[in-house]
Amino acid sequence: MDNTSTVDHVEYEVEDYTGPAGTTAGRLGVWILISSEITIFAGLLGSYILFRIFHPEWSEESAHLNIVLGTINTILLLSSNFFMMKAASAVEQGNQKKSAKLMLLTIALGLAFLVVKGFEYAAEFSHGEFPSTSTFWSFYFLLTGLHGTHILGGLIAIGILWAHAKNDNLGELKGRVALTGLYWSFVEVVWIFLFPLLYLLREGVAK
Amino acid sequence: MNITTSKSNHELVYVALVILALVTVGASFLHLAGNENVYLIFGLATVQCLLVAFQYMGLKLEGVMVYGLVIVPLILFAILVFLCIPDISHYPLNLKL
Repeated sequence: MDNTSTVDHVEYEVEDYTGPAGTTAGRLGVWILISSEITIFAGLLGSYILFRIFHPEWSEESAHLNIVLGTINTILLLSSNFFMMKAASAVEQGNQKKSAKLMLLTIALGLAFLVVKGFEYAAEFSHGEFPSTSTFWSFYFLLTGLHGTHILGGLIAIGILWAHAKNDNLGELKGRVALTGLYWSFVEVVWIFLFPLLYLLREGVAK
Repeated sequence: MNITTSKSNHELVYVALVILALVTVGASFLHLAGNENVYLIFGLATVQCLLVAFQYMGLKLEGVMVYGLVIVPLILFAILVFLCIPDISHYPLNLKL
């Protein structure tokens, strides 16, 4: 009797792999991505804060930003992330159609965020405020532009998942809905800090 | 791991986040002494951040490795800021922004 066994073919589901801490490979990968993103945004925000301590006169430039539109965008992003969490729950319950509807809401609110941001940019350009105008505006356009790029990337990912979910065809992509939700939540966290730093700390705030 | 273990809290967390966002905006119009507005605003932002991280991102269910992935860049951020303090220490801390 031959006690040796030969494994000809082993199928590994990457999503099913669970590490010692119970974290799947997919989640760990997204957390590594988020870790690198924290480095990028924390570095930029740290530089901005240090510059701002040096330059109290930036308050006057910050006062040109529209707090109402910034607040609307905050609510839009909070709502978008909420619907993405609900979409992930719907997928886990096996309801892909409901998940597709929720992802469509997520996309619509994310696009609305970008549209509002576009209106803000247009107003700023019309007032002669460009990235080259001053260091404050360089930081403003860099930070909001980089954040907007992350929004766009997230919307593309959610759009791909929606296209599959609406046909009840998520298949192996089911796990990706929660993972995309994880990334989408991080994008929201970034805005939670960007909004007060850029919009709320302005002249008259702490007189 | 199931990211939506705490899905029953989604609505509650969402309402809390919206209220905190509106309170943050309101706090920016308060006329407090010194830099207290700044501390208040960033305190509220930190609470929002923790709510999203622990409730939506499922950080409370993660292991040491993921906590390390989050904390290490934050430590690097702190080092960046603290290393710059000698350069700015002779400037008055002006966060009346």
